[in-house]
Amino acid sequence: MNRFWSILFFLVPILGVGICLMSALGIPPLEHTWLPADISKSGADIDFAFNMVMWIIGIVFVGTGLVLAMSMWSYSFSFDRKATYSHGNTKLEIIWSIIPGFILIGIFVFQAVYWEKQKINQPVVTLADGTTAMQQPIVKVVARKFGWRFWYAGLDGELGTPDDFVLENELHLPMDEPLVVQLESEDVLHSFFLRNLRIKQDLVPGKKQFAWFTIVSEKIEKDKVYDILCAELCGWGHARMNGRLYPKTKSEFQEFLKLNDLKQNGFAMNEAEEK
Amino acid sequence: MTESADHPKQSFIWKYVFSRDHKVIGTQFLFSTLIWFAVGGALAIALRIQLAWPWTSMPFFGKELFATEGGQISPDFYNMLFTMHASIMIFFVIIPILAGAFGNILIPLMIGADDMAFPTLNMLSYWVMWPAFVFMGLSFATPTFGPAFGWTANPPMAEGPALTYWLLGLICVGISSMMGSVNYLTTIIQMRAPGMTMFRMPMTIWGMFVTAILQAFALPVLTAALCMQLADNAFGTGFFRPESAASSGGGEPLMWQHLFWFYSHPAVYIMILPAMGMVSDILSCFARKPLFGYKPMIFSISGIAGLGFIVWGHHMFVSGMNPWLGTTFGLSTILIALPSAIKVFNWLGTLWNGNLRLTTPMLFAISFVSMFVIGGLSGIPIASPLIDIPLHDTYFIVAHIHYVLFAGTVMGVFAGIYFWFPKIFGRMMNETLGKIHFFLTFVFMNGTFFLMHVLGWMGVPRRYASFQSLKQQIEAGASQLELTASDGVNKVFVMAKDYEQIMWINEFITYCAIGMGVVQIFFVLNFFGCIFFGKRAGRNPWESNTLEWTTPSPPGHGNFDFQPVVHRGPYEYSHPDAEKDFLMQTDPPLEATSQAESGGEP
Repeated sequence: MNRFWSILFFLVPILGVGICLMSALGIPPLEHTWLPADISKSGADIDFAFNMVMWIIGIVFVGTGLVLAMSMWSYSFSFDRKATYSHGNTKLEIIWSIIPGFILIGIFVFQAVYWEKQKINQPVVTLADGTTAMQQPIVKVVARKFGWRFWYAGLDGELGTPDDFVLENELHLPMDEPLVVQLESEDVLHSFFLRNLRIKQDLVPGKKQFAWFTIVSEKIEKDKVYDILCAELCGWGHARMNGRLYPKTKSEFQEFLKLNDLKQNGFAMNEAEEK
Repeated sequence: MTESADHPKQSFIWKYVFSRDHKVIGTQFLFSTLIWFAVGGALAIALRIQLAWPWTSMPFFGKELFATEGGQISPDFYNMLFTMHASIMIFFVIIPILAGAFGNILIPLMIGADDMAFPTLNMLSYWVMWPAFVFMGLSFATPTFGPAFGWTANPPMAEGPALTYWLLGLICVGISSMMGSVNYLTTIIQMRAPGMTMFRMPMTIWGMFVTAILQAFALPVLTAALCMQLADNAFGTGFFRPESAASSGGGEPLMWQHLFWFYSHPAVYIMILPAMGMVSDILSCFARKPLFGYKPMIFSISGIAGLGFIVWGHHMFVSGMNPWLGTTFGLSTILIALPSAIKVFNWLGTLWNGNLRLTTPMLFAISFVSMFVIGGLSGIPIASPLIDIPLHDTYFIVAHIHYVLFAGTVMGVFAGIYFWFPKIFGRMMNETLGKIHFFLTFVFMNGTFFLMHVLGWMGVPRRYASFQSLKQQIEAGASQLELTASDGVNKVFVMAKDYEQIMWINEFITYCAIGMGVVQIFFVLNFFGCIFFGKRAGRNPWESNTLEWTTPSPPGHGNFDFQPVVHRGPYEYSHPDAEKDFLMQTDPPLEATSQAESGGEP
């Protein structure tokens, strides 16, 4: 019976790592279950860090599972013998504190560099007079129960001017250039979650925040739309708070701005004044 | 023996209802929490049914509660289900079963005391739970808008009368925990038997001790935060409510999150350290081998507790908190994996070269180790602020917390129940039923929780009532998108295939969850059957070393029929000079074994 339990416990890391590998390699029935397609410039860093950590914890998972199963397999109970009388081993304690310690700190240092890029260093632009300034947001995202309102800076590239216009749940963005979006919430907490850009940021009412990223055109599948989800419980309509992301080339985006400028100029001005 | 010698005869009510005996109070906690465990489990199955077969008729209560919708639950009701599932499981099951039930029953018995330091306070700590039960019930029954705000109750979304009841309930739970922790600390520090030095205490007691310290220091902060939110909600103050169209607050929603997690992250350790202690004792007993690295184990739980106070911000990496703070919290969080790893290695060291008796409590204890490895390892990616960005608020987090708290703590609790049942009720539980219960729970549990990791890295957000609306949008197809896209280009939604996968995985998880619920019948039968019909247990059925096994089963009022004197640490199994393979803490000292003594002179 010992061997039965030993095998049962060994199946845990084997099946566990097996499922992770099936998902990563797209083996049915777990195809399309790995990280969503990455379309951003910095997403690859996050994916690399994730994969690296998964390999490390996978090895530890199998290693500890093996030791556990082996001790169950080998040391089944018998009245004829006694267990080894040992209270521990200081050398072992030191080894298994220091090695994981280094690995963990290594993981931290490695990821901290990319964390700084992703969330701390907001992009700057160099102005005509040689000074630098924070890059201006191209879109203002305003979340409310239960939808996204995207305010576009319009042709002048500046938010809060009369040529701003607004679209519901539709985010059109140019590819291959660094973008900044401004994030606000009108009512409760929401979270701006773009799986394919590896962006997630909670929106806090009364607080102005920013997210920045670059959409890479080579990573885009032609004529595809990407989803925008809410990732912070906001009420009964939380699950239906879906927006869509339309990546566009530079010229397509200019056309889109012009189209909306002509069509909605009067309307948008009124809205902007109301605000 | 303080009052037992001339203890007056008591009426039934004072003996079994308003009892001041720690064992009766512990048993009261045990029964209450097991009943709430069933309630919380039923809520979990209801929400799994919604996820697997969205917006179909909910069995059992759907037709009664939602008659006009044909038994379909509302999205708000779904939110209430997971809010109450979490609130009940955390505040009415795991915390009170570990501290209230096991803490009460085991602390005096394992340190050789005749009762708690403050028996009346102890009784009150149980009875204060009852207003909490009533308030939570009222909260769930609030007619128009129930507690649909998640167990974190983030303002400004959380509001209304349901929140008031929910907060009052939690304040009562906090008062109960505080009374308990003061009592446990005093008892452990003051009432140990002669010879029971701190470093001769079993790991169970160390777990309870460190937990009590955590509660004593973290609870005041939660209580203050709860009172502030109560004032916001009931009297219109503005601690956490921002200036907006909906309120004239001027408060800061992030402040609530800081205060809430300042308690609720240490609470995660409150919910696992006692289980770690119990598992250490059970592993050592059934491996017939001293616990590997007793002092490193104590230092690592102290390390977990100490670091536990400075990691709360890892719940808030993407909350809008200053990202520099995220860096700091990331470092402390990653470092907390170290003492956890040391514990796992020491448990494995305890099993290695042992003489393993695979009884039911032992199997549950080993599964605690095996599952805690998963829960611990899956904590590493989300401890890193960078990798947490895609994983935060997805099913990866749901998988992680359930591997720690269900596959970890609840398995440890089952181990504890099977192990100490003979001491509590004087009879053995049935081993065959126990092993069937273990096997089926273990299999269904992994079926339920493992694939949630996969959903998590796919980017499936948690707390969604259904993923069907997305799927329907996809099925409605390109025409709809063409219509709404303002530039009129036909586009394809890229995630269609993903959502098909989500649907079958959710269905699979639900079948496993239902299976896991159903097989608990083996436990219920075994538990209640053996209270009355189990084989009688002697004083020490498992041949264990610690003090509780020197008392009669069940122990009478005052616990010990002699004054226990402790001569050694709790883990002297398979001592080469001893005749048997165990040496109880009260056994007289062996000759020529002074080198084996781990503590000071008695």
